[in-house]
Amino acid sequence: MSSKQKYNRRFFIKSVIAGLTVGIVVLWDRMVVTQRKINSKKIVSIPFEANKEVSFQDDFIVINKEYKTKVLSSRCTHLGCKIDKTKNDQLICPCHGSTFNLDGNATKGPAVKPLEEKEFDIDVLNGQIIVRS
Amino acid sequence: MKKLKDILSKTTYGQITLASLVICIISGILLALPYDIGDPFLSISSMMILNPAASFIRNLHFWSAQFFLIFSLIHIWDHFNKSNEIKIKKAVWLRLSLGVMIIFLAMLTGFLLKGDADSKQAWRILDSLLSSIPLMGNVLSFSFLGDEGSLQLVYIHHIATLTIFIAVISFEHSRKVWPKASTFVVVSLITSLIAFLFTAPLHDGLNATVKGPWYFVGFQEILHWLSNPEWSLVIIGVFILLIFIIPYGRKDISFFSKRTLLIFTVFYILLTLSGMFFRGENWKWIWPWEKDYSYSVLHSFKAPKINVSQEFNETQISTSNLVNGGKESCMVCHDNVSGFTASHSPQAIGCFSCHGGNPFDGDKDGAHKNMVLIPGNYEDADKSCGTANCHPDITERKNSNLMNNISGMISVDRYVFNEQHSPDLLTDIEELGNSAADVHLKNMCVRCHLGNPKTETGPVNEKSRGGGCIACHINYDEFAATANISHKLNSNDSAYLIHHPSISMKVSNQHCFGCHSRSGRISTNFEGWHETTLTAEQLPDNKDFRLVEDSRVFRHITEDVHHTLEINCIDCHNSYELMGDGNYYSHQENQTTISCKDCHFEGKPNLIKAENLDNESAIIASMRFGNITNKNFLATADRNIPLINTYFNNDTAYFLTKNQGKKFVLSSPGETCTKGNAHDNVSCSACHSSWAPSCIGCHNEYDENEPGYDMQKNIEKIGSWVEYVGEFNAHAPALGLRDNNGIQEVIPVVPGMVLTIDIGSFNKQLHDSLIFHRLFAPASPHTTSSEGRNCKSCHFNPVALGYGEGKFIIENDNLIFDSKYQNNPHDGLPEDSWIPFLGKPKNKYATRSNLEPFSIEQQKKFLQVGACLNCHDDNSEVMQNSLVDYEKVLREISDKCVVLFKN
Repeated sequence: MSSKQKYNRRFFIKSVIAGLTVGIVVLWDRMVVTQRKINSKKIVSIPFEANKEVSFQDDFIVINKEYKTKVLSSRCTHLGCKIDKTKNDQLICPCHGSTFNLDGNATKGPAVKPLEEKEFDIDVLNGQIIVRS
Repeated sequence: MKKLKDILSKTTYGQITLASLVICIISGILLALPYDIGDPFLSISSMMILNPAASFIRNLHFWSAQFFLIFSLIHIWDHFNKSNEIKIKKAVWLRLSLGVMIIFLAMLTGFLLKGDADSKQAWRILDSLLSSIPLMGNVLSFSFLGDEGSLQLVYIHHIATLTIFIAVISFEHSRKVWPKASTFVVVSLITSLIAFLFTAPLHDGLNATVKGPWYFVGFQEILHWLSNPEWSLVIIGVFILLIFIIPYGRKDISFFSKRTLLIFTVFYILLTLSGMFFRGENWKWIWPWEKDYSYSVLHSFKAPKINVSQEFNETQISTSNLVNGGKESCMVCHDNVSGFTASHSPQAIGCFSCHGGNPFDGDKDGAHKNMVLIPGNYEDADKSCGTANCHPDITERKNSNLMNNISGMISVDRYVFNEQHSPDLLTDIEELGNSAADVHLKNMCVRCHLGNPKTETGPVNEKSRGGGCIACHINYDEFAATANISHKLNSNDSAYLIHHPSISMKVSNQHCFGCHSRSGRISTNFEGWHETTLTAEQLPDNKDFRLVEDSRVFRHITEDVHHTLEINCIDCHNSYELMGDGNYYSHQENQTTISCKDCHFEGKPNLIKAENLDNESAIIASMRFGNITNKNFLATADRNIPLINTYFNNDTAYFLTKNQGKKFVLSSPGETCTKGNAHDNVSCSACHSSWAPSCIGCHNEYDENEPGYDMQKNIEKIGSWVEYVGEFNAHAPALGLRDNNGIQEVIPVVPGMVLTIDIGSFNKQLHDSLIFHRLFAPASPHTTSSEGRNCKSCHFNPVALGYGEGKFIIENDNLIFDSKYQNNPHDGLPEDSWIPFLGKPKNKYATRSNLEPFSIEQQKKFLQVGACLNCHDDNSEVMQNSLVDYEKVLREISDKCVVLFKN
């Protein structure tokens, strides 16, 4: 067997392995993307309490001010911790103290970006807010 | 001893690390039995409380893991430190460098598997960081962590992926599977001892401080500085790179890398220490001497030892309740306590959320450590009533509440002692000093503030002062009250353990009585009792007399009409008045909002619809009255606060009592009040107060030998101000003018501070100086009568005008006043007067800057009507017309009419 043939074989095996690796990564990526879509909660329904100024509902914060309703994501824009408390009309993240006003804008760091505002519909009859992801 | 030294000297860090790893893996396999991935928090809390063997294995797993981490780092440092290095193949070294990160991830996944509040937030942080990796971020995050809420994937990586990788690289570079026997024995024994003494942490779900694991607390500090935390991944990458290049770079690069790593390690250790010992709630920096240090910073160090003696019977183990998704050790023993309202029962909120202690310790003494016997006092209300899941919006108002900071009481007293130029300055009981006024307050007055803690169990009674939230909200039913007394008489009686007082909204007049039977005496006035100067020994055996607090004798006069109707204090006074609304007010009349006109309105009422109620009022209204949809509530004119126990329907206004649900129809003011515009500026209480306490002849002196009290610190001391009283009179009150933003209102006034103060007795340098004041105060007598005063009781009554008791005599169209009381030597006025007859007061005359007596002109006009009333009856045509057009009536007077003040 000539060295050129050996070279070709090694090269072939290496490129097949590289190809397989790429293949696995692509499959992996596809699988995750599709699985995420399967798992995602398209429609989330949370109670609508018009009298409550600030209401923490798991992944969302419902704000009722001056007869207008707003739904914000409860994920802090610093590192994603769940914001679960309010004081003096400010929302405070328990992990590093990032503070947001009731419009969702960061008033104290380390967070800088405002909280994500969610689109929603109000089902008045059943007293629910339907949040669109 | 020599053998031990031999053993210790013959082992290596690598061996210790391997031994720790083996212990960790074995304990981990055993731990999988009691651990439930479907409900991690519940299974772990159960282990800690009910299954000592499982708890021990968990501790073993935890401590062996921490030692594995620490000793592998020391092992690496040791390896770099040695001058002759062992060369390893590049690929193996690459895997070992990555291995450092893998070890941290294995530890972190273990931390996430706790499923408590710390773990949940850590999960989210890790998710964010992984997702921020370019290109593969989202895929990596999902592959490693899965979906939020399920720890299945984390569990698999922890027990399989990461552990296998660690085991493989460990074998690959050390060629050893098992550690040396002697090392293994020593490490096992030491780890077992520590596992027995110190339980691994679990967050109790209530404490506001959330932190990552100790080895990442330094990293958390770095993250806290970065507004773009993705850059931290770069730091991690650099860290691994520095480790990797050490054996392969040039000598100086290698040295630079080692030095950098060393400096970074030292820096990281410092950050770890600061994060562990100085960071608390919301990552706030808290010094050890600050008030909340122990609660906020040190709570995660609660580490009780394993409870070996099994105290629970089988029923207790299998049926103990869940609180907040986990088990509480309190509930395992205290499983049949009754007396609660549904919202504050152990089934709803457990015991720990109010009483503290350690909810994961099955041992009695450990569980009771740091327990609060009487929660709800203001000093710890933030940790019980005011935690994030409960009532933080109420406790955050406590400092501005006048019933807590008693700013008005303090300011007026300082004003009277001539220490301050205005009675309206804002202050706080925490700011009391040692001036004459402040000592006077501490001796005599300041126990009546909500910050004063309740230190003894038992129902609220006449002697109660303060108590924070539970000053109003605690109620003992008959079982709890009896059990409480029995326990106090006999400490072996344990009935009190199953009969617990309730936390409820049933605030009775008794709750207000303790403090409000003092000062203006509105609690006692409301019930019709007037204080006498009789001593307890002189108490007549007569239904018309009553002993209050075993020392003060009261006699019955007339009760408020609302009391006759069984209406309570809280039926008028709403939650924002009583618990504060966050604003600081100078005096009680500023903080209160209710006025007679809010219920007894004329014309159209001020209404609020149910759907527009604020959250607090809406909750209270629905809790008391059920479904409130579509109800229209009356609201106060001042600050528009809904009166949740009222409603308006079909042109009728209804009023319900909050505790009994008694219903009334609200009536409008009578014609006399509203006819014409003569009495437009007269408040309802000016006519409708049947009597008010009017005290005279007060003298104050400081006696340095008198046994006294410091009510701020609640300690006894020698040296106290002593008050000598004159007479306690009760009659229809005097009248004054209050300026409400430009509009003058006629209100009842009473002697507020008519006294002498022997200031020289306190401050010896002032020798014989004596302060004399004649200050009247605005009053809300709370002695409402359904029929108002007759016309002459104001218009021709020297008391009403502030002259004091006595007789008016009309002689030749001149009015003469013959006072009942002697003139006070200090200012020449009768003892019980406010102003001179047809005169103006000199100097200070009121305890408020917006309160004034009638001007001389006003007094004259007032008395002229009185002159008419001497002949014309209240209901005569003349007097009724004068209400509508007084000038016209004056123009039609006859020769027989008495016209005073012609000049």
